[in-house]
Amino acid sequence: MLNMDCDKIQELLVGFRDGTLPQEEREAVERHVATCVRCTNELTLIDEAFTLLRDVEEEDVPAHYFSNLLPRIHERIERRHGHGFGFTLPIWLQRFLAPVSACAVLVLMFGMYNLFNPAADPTRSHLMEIVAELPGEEIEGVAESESSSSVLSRATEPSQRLMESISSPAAVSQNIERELVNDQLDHGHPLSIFLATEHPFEDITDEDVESVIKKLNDTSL
Amino acid sequence: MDQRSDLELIREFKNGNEQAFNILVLRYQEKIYWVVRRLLPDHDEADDVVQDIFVKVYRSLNSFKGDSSFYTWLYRIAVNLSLNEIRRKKTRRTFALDEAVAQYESGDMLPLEQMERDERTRLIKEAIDRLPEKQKKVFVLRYYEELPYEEISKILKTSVGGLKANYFHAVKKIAEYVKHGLR
Repeated sequence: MLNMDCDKIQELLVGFRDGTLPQEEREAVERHVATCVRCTNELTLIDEAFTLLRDVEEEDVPAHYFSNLLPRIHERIERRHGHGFGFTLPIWLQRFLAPVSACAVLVLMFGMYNLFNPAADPTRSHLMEIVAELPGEEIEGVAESESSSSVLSRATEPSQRLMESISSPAAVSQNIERELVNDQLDHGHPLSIFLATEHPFEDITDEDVESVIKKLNDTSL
Repeated sequence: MDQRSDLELIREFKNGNEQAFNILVLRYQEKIYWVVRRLLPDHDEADDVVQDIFVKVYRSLNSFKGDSSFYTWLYRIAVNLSLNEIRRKKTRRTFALDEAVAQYESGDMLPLEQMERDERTRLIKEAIDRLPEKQKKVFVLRYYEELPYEEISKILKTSVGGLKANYFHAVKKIAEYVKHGLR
């Protein structure tokens, strides 16, 4: 048998009146109310409240309110989250919009970085691509011209070191030719004599030539 | 009447079927309107909040995980937005008594019984309107919506014991307020 104090009983009075109390609690309330004036008064008050509430007239709702509500909700959705393109993307597509946009921005940034930063990949630097497309004579011309310093300033670090280590690019060319001539002389090529007489190389030592060839081999031109 | 469950409709909405949202609105608009209307006695205010509720549902449905039922989730939004509106306005309305006095003065008097009835209705509405927030929302969900305490507990995230106490105090205050007003 449940024995409860007034505070506990009063919390059950509403349930007692609206019939939602379990049997055991219901019996406990009945026993308590039969002997407690305070709780009996509380129960009377609750009865009066429910009587009054039942008497309250139902509120009015304008005619057709519910049949017009849905379009008005859609109007508000459009107004607050209007789609500037005149159409609505499906929700599943909207979910992918943010991550796809973020990836696109990253790819774009990476592309821009590679395009405008020659140091990012020396083999694809802007200067290297220009040089690769030029005939040999033009490379010499550029190197010998007064504007070669500006070309040097745009070159990548390994290219700069190579070009700075060569005092005269024309001499490099001549060294290469001399190497060919020596080779051809050793092997008795008919053009050897002609080349030897047309291009004297007394001012270039063998060490110079070897040094240049080694540097050329070490470079990814 | 559409036979699909709330969860099926939500799944369809997430897959791009906007029509599923419309069905959910039509299914719950009347219930939600009345919850809001009990909390905000003015129709225009209630209408404004009801629209906001469904706009919020539209925007948030994709993040609905189904931890609680859609119905519980929807009621929670409705109660919270209604209380926000009450806090925002903080206006105490003047009730129909002024109109009754005006009618009396103009000679266009209502029968006594009707006036008493109107006065009781006015006092009850005023009493509900003046309840503390917690008691008010519990009262509306329990008395008008007839929701079980367990369901209200999920909506308001409060213990059942606390709800029972709030409901009891709400009912008692309404009765006391009306009795005092009619004296």
